[in-house]
Formats: sequence, C-alpha cells, structure tokens
Amino acid sequence: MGGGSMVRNYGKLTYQQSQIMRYLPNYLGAEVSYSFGGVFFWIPHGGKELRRWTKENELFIQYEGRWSSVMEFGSSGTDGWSMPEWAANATTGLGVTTGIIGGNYGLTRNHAYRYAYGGKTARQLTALHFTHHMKVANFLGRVNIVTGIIGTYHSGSMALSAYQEGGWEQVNPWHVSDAVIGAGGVVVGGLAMFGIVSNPVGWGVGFGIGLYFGVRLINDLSTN
Amino acid sequence: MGIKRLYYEVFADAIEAAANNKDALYGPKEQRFYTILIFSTAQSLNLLLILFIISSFTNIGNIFFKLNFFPGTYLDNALSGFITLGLPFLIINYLLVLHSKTYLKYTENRKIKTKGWALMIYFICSAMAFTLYMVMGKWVL
Repeated sequence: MGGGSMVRNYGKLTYQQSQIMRYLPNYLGAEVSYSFGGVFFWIPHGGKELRRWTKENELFIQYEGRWSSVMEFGSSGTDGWSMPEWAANATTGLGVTTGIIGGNYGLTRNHAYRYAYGGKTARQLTALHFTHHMKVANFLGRVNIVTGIIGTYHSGSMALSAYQEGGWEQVNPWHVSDAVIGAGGVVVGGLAMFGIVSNPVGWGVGFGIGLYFGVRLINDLSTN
Repeated sequence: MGIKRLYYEVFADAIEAAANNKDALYGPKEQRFYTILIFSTAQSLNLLLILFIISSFTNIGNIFFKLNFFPGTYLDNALSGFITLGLPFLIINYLLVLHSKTYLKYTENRKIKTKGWALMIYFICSAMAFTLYMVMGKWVL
C-alpha cells in the first residue's frame, strides 16, 4: 500500500476510499470496518483512536475533539471514472445476454442450415458449412490471442505488484485464474492460427475463454 | 545448434506454418504479427517468472507504470503490464526478425520442421512454468 500506512484489511472499497488508503499519511493506520460499512482510521502508536468520515473526495477526521480535513483529492473526472449503478447493471445484463446468445449460436446455426437444406445441394451446403466454420474459427482465434494476452499481462503485473507488497497472501486468486485461462486462450488461438487444431471442441473452449474475459472486464467496470 | 539459429528457426517454422494454413482467412502480415506477439508474450512470462524469483529474495519495487486511460482498472493494468514487460520484447523481436527479414535465411534447410509446434511448445512451457509457480506459491507452499 502506498505511503507505508498500516492497512489491516483491504476489502471492498469504493474508488475514493481506495485512493484515500493509497495516499494515507505514514502516521495513520486504517482498516475496513464491515460493521460500520466503511474505512476506519487510527494512529497506530498514538494510543488515541480517530473518528472519521468520508465525503466525496475528502477524508475528515476528528482528533482531540476537532474535525479537520486530512487531504483533498482531485475530482473523480480526472482521477478516476466510476460507472453509475444503472449502467453497471445494464452492461452486466448485456454481457450475460450476449454470452447466452453466443452459447446458443451453434444451435441456431444448425437450425438455419436445416431450413436452408431444401434449397441447396449437399455439396453446396458442405462448402458453405465449411467456410462458415472456418470464419468462426478464425474470428475466435483472433479473440483468444488478444483477450488471452490482455488477461496474462493484467494478471502478471497485478500478481507481481501484490507479491512485492505483501507476499503470496496479497496475491488475488483471480489473478492466478486469469493467468492460467489467459495463457490457455493464447494457446487455443495459436493452435487455430497454425492450423494444428481446429475443431468444434477448440472453438467451444475458445468461446468460453473469450466469454470469461468479457465477464471479468464487465465485472471490473462495474466494481471500479 | 546455436541459440541464434534456434531463435530464427522457431520463427521461420511458425511463420511458414501460419502461411501454409489453407483454412486461415486472414493475411500473412497479421499472421506474422500474431506469431511475434505470441513469442514476445512467452518471453515476458519468462521474465515475470525471473522477477518473481528475484522478489522472493529482495524487494525490487514497483516496476509498472500507473495508467488511467480506460474505464475501470483492468485494461489499464493490462496495458501497463504490456508496456513494461511485453513491448520491449515485441520491438526487439520485430527488429531482429521481421524488419531485417533474417528469418528468411533460415526458411530453407532448417532443422526445425514442426508446423508451428515449436513455438507453441515454447509458449506452453513458459506459461506452465509461470502459472505453476503462482499456484504453488499461493496454495501449496
């Protein structure tokens, strides 16, 4: 944590609270209080507890009966961006809906071919089917390489930073999961690109990986 | 086989395999770019693993940029990681392999003829070493 402050628990914080924690002066300690639903600050060695409250971008503390503003942060427009709740819900819903539609894509495609069968010869249908499959495979290959690399770099950088701050305990399990799945995505995309493996099982795996990172991204936008 | 020859032959093998893939619907430039991107990512994973091991002995500090271009933090952190770890390798590989076209010298008469598997095995081994180290460190040790 920046500033060398004592931080006991870095749980679910708002963006402003996390910024306060990040730039907390060295002489202040802090912990997340779930009973109060906020961040609780104190002086580690002073013996006197501080009462606190946060308002927008400012942190106020009460020390020896006097309220004072500890520090003021930049406006959220320049220091960060948070999505309104309704927009976060909407994007999460959109992501899930897209996943469900995408997951049923194979089914609907087969239905379409079944309906189209009456108007085409078997040979035409096979060629069309093959071309369509290859388009899907190449698209998923691209998506897998890009999303896999994004996930791998994200997880690698975050895990290393966390490890340097507080050892393995600070490393978020999601970052380990991102690294494994991201690397898997690159492998699936690479295998499809080289023509080594290209079959519906690989496409399914690739689609799942793309969906995973889509949901992770939407989740990040919703929470940060 | 020297390390230089091995390096160029892996690229020559991967680029030729991608070019010979009749089912691929995207062009050779894009194929070469993805080839070099995969190789650079594997090198970045090697570097990350080395940094993790060094960090267990000494504190090397935060080496990543703090960026705030995108909404949320996910893409910012990914971009920061890419600039710090991946971009240097990408530039070096591009200059050594694609810009100078040195890999063309090794396309003929090369010993590695694996249809792209050599690059993928290198990537899979790098990724497995890195993820195994993380999983072992986080949950086992």
